[in-house]
Amino acid sequence: MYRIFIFQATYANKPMKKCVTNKYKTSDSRSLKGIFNDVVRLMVTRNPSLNWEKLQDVFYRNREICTLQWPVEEELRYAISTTVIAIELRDFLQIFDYNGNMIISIDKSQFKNVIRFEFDGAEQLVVATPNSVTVVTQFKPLAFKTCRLSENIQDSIWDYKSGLIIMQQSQDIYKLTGSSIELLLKNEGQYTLLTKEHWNSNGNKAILLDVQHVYELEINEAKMTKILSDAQWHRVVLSPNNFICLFNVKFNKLQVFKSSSRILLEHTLEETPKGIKWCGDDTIACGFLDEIKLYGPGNSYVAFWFPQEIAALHTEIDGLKVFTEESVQFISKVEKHTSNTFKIGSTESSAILLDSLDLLEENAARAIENLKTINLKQAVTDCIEASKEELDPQLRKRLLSAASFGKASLSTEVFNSDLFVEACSVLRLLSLLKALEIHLTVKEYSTITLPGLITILLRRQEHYKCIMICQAVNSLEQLPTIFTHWAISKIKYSKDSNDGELYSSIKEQYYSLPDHIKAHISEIFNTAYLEGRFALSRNLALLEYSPEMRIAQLLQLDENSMALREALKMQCPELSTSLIFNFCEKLTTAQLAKLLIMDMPTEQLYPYIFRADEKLLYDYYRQTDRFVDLAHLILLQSKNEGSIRIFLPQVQELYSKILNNNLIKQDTELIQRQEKIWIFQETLTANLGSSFSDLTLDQTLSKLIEMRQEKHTQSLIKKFKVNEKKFYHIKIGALVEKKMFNDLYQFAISKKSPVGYEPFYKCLMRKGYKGEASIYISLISTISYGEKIEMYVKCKAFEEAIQLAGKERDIKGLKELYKKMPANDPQLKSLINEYMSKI
Amino acid sequence: MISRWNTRKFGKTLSENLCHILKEIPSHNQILAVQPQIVPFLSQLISFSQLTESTPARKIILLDEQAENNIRDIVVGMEDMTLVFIIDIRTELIVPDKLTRILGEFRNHGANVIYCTWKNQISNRLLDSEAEHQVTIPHFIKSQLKMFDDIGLYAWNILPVPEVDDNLLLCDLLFNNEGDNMYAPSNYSMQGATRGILVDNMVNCLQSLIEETNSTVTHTVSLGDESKKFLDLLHKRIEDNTDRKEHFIKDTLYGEKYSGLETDLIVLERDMDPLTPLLTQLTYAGLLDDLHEFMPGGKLKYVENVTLKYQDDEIWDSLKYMNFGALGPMLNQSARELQESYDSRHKAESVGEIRQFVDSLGSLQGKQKLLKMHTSLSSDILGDVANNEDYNFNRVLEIEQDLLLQNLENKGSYDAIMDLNYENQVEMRRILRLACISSVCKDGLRDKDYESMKRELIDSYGIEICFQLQRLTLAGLFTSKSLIADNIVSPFWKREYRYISSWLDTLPPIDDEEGDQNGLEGKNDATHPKDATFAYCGVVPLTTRFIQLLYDRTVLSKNYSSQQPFILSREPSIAKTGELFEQIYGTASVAKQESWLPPVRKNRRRVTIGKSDKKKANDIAIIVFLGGVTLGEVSTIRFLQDRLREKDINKRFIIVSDGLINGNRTIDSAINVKLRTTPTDI
Repeated sequence: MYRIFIFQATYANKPMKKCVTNKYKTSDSRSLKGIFNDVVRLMVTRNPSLNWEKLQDVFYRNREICTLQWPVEEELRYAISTTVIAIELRDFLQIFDYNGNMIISIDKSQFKNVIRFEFDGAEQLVVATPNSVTVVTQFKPLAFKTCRLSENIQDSIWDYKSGLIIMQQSQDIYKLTGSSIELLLKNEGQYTLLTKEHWNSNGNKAILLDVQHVYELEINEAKMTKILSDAQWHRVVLSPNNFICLFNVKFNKLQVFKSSSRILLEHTLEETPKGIKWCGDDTIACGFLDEIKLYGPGNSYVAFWFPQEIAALHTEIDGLKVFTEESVQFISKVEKHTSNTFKIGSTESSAILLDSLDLLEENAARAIENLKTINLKQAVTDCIEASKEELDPQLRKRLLSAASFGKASLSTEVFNSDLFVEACSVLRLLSLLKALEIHLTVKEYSTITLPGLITILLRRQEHYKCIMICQAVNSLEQLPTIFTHWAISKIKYSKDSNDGELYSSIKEQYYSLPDHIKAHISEIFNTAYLEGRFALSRNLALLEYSPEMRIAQLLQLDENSMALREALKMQCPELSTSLIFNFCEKLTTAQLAKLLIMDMPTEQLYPYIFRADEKLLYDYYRQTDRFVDLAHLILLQSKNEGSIRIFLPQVQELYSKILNNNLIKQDTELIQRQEKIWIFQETLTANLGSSFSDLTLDQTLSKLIEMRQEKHTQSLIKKFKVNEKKFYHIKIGALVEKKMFNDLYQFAISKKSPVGYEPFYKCLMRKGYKGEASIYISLISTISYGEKIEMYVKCKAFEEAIQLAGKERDIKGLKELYKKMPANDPQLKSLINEYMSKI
Repeated sequence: MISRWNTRKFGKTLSENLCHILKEIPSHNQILAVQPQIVPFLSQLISFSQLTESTPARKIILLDEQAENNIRDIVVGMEDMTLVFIIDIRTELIVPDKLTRILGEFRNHGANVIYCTWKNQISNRLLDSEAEHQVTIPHFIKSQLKMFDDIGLYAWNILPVPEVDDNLLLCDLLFNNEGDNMYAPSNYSMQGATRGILVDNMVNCLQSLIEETNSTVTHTVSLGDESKKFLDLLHKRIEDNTDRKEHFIKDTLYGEKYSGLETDLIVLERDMDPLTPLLTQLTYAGLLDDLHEFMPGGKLKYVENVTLKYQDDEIWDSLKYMNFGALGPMLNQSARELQESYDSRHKAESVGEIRQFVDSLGSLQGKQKLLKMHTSLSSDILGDVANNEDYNFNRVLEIEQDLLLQNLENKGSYDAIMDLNYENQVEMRRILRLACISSVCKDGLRDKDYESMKRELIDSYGIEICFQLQRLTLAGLFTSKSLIADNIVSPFWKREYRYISSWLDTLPPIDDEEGDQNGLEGKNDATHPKDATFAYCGVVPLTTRFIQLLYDRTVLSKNYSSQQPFILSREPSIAKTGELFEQIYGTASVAKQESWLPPVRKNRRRVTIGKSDKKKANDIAIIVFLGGVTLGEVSTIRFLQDRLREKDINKRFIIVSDGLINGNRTIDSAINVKLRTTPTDI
């Protein structure tokens, strides 16, 4: 039995710590290398730097992602994406996840001859056959989209890589756009590609290795340039950020450059590698039987050894995935923050922070002291970033604990905790994904993004997993997409359920969405509509929360009445107006009228909108029997025509149709009275010669008085019951207007005036007839003595004023009058003196 | 979330938005064709010269009869001008004819229409859906311009701007472009539809204001049916628009642990108090509105060269709400102060002081100009009031008072009004106003009075006013008792005004105890009134009393019932007023109170943890008037605000209304614009 002790070196001069012990039996059948691996694995949980390899000044490491049994057959064709693997096995194209679970198996027979298959950027499987390219858009159930070569192309497809197609005969280059195959560049003998390995593309650029030269094709601009002449190369690999690696099989020479003028790396290898791939986006890796070598400048390289044979390689955005017969491994660069933290002997802030965390248990004071010596913000940031790089949950937790410990001493102005919260959230998500058999690193996840991930899972109809993911990240904005996809799939693929069942299950799920997360029903509605499920689509339309979409959907179903009612319910007249205008175009007048009468009987929006169009209103009111409104309309017309008289009979007729309305009855009587007035006026006009039309009754009376038509005046008063007070006022006004002062006086004294005599005075004063006005002052009984004097003064009737004052024996008043009198009137002065002496 | 109600900023925001939109339109030379009705509004936001400088607009014309000729002239000179129209059809709903004709004629000069709307207007989403190629119905403006393809439609989101006062926001929606009153249109049957348009626009207005100022309404009271509809709609629309984050914030501040922040929303409508607009106003601003009619931007319709901007004009700001009687002494005092400032130059000894004086000379001269303008305005008013026979001001005022106090019985009031008619001096609208006041106060005239009054008025003014009177009858302003009994007309109040006035103390007796000398007493009353009676002839507007009783029950406890559930309350409350409203309006449900705080879970109570600094912070109380507000009511509400502050209830009343209303406008609404005779027609 052997026991193995592992000691951990610390950075300060402290005694080494005993960490972990394990017991091994000598009869254990593991080989020495196996024990070594175990030990390494154990140690790595304490400090991962133990299995780092150094290339120049950068570290690389290899970690296991999961175990996977690669099928044993030789020379399998396969395609790998970040989340799944597609393998061609006998008659099927089978798709597995990284843990070996089969997702789907596609029958190859529908493809005839599969030239090549691979995954595109959105993780859809693209299968190329001689005359078509098929994209598998959905896994369960299987759904394809096939783009065929157009008929006038005589050629057939030779090879397909990253969206580019090369033809068999001519080696023209075509591009696969969303729905068709388009010509990108014609060859015309410019280049010849010998094998399928002689060209490669990464989506932006393509490199073509001709027999003599090397060409570079800029895909977006469809421009091809010769970058190297007289160069023989046999294999080419492009990195995601346009680094080019060329390999010559004859000399085993490897060359890496970005632009042909400057060669970054040149190597001569000992043997021909089985596969050449980029590790991440900046290091070239060559795969041999059980080893991967990463090459750096100046003939440097690092090697990673694997216990099993390597079956496949796949470039990821941040590393290289190695598929051995039994496991999936990941070679990646060690980022600066990780190396700061974990490198043996590192004195960086993050390493100290990490150690301080351990120290915290024994010697808290010391630990906190350490914090003061380092750049705490840098340390915390590095720890957080390093935690995102690790795959092992233990290490992640340690790093996050260290970060949290350090963060507690930082204020929010210095350090924004959102970084920490986000990291925790993402790592939580990645652990969840690992449990769901999707293995991603943080960088891969940020490239795919959450919506992309949801799309990938929805393709497999795994709605529940999507919901779990959304809840783990607390980002509920994707829930509507998931719900919509689920509902659409349900409608499309449940051929047996009836509309009612479908509706109730969809409604149930819709209401279980959390508050304030709203899903639009329009796509689901469209699906139901296209499937011919009209009852379902009507119910779905009513479920839509956005009013304008609801109305649009109801209109699509020709449910005009319901749409109008929904619009009115929103109490938004502009929306209803838009709908009404839409109806005006779509429907005939009769249909529109029927709709309005049925659904908007009291709501008068329609006449309001069209209030400028009199003819339309007229028709509408006639149809709906709105007599009062018709009368109103006729009145407006009368203004245009001039006189109102012609139209009043019509108004009267309309009013007569309204029953049981006293107000209308009264008004009808008043109109009849007016008619009588007009007739009277006509006779007057006939008899007296001057026109009496278009005058009001008061004006007529006034005119008659002016014309001294006593008889007619009296008959008017009697016939139309003119009030006596009114008569007096009118007469006063008329007589004053015509300066008929004598008549006025006669009229005043003929009878006691019911309006008093002040109106006489006032009217005359208004017109400026002061002399006349003074006559009436004495007749006024309701005013005081003082006021009378004032009025006399205003009229400049000083004589009367003096007389009155004298009568009242008002010496003071007389004196006042004396002052106010005009100076050059000796008569008046003597009069005053006379009176004054009398008193 | 601290709410900011800096209303002066709204204008600036609007003008920036407009410039932004103009710059968005893809063209470098634009001709702006502006609807004439928007010009006053537009010119107070941004001057035309500023527009031409900061945006691609080169020429600005009005959309009137001369528009086509003007455009032709401009286009001859410069070829590549793009046409941009600015229109406001929120109440109209139809695109002006002129626009369609001009678009037809000048087709190749592009077509861009900027239309005024609200940020949350539901119909704007139709444009968004169209932009996203979803199946939808076309926007109503696009439908009307469908014969022209690719019209560029741009939404200009409006906010109400403060007029006359920082706390008075007018939306200019009460009258549509034809002059029809949207709350009480001349065609009675359209009232439902027009009120619907008004309510929708006001709801959007409030929603935009609440969003703009980041406020959350906590307590609401509505009085009236339209008001109730308004509040329900507003609540629903705000709820629909809240996203998760806002919901979370609201829950935190206003949920179980209540922060103590409060924003009140009180909604009133014109039908609750139809009497106040008919009365003659006695405040400076009120008189100006009655005689000369206020327009947006501080201009007066019937007086030229006068612009009243309260932001710059201190004198106007201090005088606008005062009773006119106080104006004389105040102007005198201002003049004296100004004279003293001028004279101070003699006292200046050092060069520094002289320089100070010279620096302030500019502002002094400005002040002098303003003083001159106000002096001339007020002397004009005085002239009109004292001497103009058309107004017969004092007599009319006396009759109003008598009617309100019910000093005259039926025959007396009838005679008083008809005497005015017989004398044929006062203009028709005044007489109609008095008739309406009489009818409203008496809860319907006697049948014979009603019929004879109607006949006499038709005799004097022609048969056309028969229809105007019919409309006033249907509105409930001028009715008879039998029409009410027959249910042809539904009256506003179920009781005569004298009961209401005694319950709510709207005609408080003038205390003779303060001030013995005549002159002093008058001065004291006018500048420092004791109650809110200074705006009208000794009567407090009913709406003011309603608002008061929500916070301060002293008014009810005096005359109506001494048992009040509270005397002063920070939250507006209608507790125990059900009976009062039932007496006045016939049903207690006309008033509704609702709290918009998020509901607490079962078995939990709301605990106020926030301590509001009572001394400094003012709660915002938004008062919405549907159907128009009078300047008299505005001044009495301001007075109420001060009184409440004395009693430690610190509110800032912000009045939002669709427009200004006064007596003449109420009477004019009853007849279609086309049929209106000129005001001085006999």
